[in-house]
Amino acid sequence: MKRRSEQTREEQLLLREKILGLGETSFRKSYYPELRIRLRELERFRFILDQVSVGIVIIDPRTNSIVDLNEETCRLLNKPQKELRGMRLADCLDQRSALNPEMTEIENGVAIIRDLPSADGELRTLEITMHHAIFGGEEYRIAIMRDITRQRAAEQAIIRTKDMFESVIRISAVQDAGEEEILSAALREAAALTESTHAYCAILSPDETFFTISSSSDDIPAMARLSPADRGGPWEEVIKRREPILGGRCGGICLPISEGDRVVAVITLRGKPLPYDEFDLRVATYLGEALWQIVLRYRAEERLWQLNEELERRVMERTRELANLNSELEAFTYSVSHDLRAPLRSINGFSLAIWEDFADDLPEDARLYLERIRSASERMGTLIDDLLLLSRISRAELRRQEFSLTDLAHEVIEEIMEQEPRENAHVEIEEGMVVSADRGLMRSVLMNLFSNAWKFTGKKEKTEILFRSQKNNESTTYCISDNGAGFDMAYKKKLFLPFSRLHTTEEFPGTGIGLATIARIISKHEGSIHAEGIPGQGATFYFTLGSKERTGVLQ
Amino acid sequence: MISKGTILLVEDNRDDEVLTLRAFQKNRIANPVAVVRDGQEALDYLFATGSYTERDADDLPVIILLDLKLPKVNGLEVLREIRNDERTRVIPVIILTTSIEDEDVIGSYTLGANSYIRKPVDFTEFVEAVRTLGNYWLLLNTNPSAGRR
Repeated sequence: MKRRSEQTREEQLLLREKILGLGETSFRKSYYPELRIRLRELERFRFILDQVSVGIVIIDPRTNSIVDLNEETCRLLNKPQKELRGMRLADCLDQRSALNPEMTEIENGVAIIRDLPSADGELRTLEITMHHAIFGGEEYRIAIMRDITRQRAAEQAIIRTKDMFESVIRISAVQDAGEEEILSAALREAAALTESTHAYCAILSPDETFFTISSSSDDIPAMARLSPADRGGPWEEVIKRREPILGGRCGGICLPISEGDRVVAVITLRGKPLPYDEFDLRVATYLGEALWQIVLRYRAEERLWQLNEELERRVMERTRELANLNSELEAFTYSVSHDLRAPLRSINGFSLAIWEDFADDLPEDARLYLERIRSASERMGTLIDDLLLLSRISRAELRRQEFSLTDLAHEVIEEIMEQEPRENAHVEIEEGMVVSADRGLMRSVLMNLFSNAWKFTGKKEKTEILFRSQKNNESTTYCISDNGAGFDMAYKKKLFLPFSRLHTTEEFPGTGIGLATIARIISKHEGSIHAEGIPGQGATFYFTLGSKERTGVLQ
Repeated sequence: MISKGTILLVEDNRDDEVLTLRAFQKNRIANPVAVVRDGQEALDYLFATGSYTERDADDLPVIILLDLKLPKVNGLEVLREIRNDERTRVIPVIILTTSIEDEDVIGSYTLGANSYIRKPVDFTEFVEAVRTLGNYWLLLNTNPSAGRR
């Protein structure tokens, strides 16, 4: 057979006549197999059409009646082929939905028919589009129908989920509100999302004896906000079963909120015009959880806020107490400085006056006793002065500056040597020690330590004092060692306590406040101090000047 | 030339008064000494007010020895009044006290004290301090009131 493109127009027409069984040659048996093939093709085509999940309906526009349709159409319209042929499409759709304009909407030339009952009793949503077609010179309308029930449901679910998340965000954003306001706002959102008229949250008291009820609306009288928990009814049932109730006796949704093993609250939704479905329950569950988290967060914030307030109040109280104590201490120091010394002056001055004016009338012993009274009063004067120094150092502000510790040490030792000259003394001070510290206070430290070294080496044949530094990692330790009386290491902890002395005043004079003063100065520099000693052989004092200290060696 | 003018001693402690007078005596300071016992009395004496209305207000002391811790009006207040008044502004004021608190020392000099002496416990040291003070303020120093007379 020739290919179609090679046929003349006349030949083509002749072939068409033959196939349709028209014309002079139509009786010839040779066309029968050809017809069978065409028929099989048509059946095949019909089968395919019946398999597609789109309803196809051919309508005669003159009568509006259905001329032809595929199987899917029967399924969608829930009627057999025979019945549908010749019917008007509008009549095939459910009467209720066809008449109800709310159930039919036209979107961009597409008709959406909702809530059509199907064979399995579920409601379907159909999408119908109309097309024009011409077969054999005649005009027809073709309706294409698609079941969009699932698609619609999915779209709805997305929209409702989106609404739900927006609600959660809105609830979370509620600020500067009390727990009751937050709960009301959250319940209003839950009611709107589920189309409920009422939403409640019943919070169970810790002893599980009563509920505190919050509502989406203000229609609960204050008196009814507390309700006994053992009244029976859906709330108690929910608490017992620890499962939500959908519909049934509660007439809506009743949902437990749990914290660990314990149900802490029940959320209730009521008044939706249509029955509540699984999706409503999901929304309620999700929103309920979110709501509870927000309440918990609110409570935690509230608690934190209270703790903060409390802490601030206590800090203020303590600060006030400390300020009072401090001013009392200052008053005390002033009083010690002024008032305690006055009687001492009298004791000292009048003993001297007696001695001077009546010495001739006094026996030797009496004059000796007067001498003792005078020296005792002087010792006490020194003691008071040392105490004052200690107290002043505690109150003094630290003023760091960079200076040469080597120079300061030379200055101090020269002063000591001048006041108490001694032969056979060897003092060695390391060169180039530079520190960042309070120069005035460091002078006190060196004066104390060198004076001690000088004092305790007084009974030796030769005085040896060594001042040097040791670098270890970041910090530098300064050491002052002597070959003096030393001390028993058993008492090393007592060394730096005020008034504690390891020698008698007769052996070595002193008030026992010097080292306490040094320790306080070093601690003000955030440094540390300790000592090592061997009785009869000498002592070494080690100190650091804290992390802020910068040291270097002068070139 | 030794000034023979009056020394005003402002001192509330009787023991200190006796000891101070003794120290004067030991140093052969023979000037007349007027003793007042509190800040208010010191001001009354200087300005011839209160119980001193009978006193000649022009007869001013050559030096004032002023304690700081005084009843009624304290020493620093007295010093302020002395320096604020035209009549008493130039009289040398020596602070004689037990306090070595910074605020007292700095406060005194700021308000115009001429000298600040801390009373030592040891009486011999005190006698020595009074001797120095007498030498300087009564003997060597040209006193403004001396010039006026």
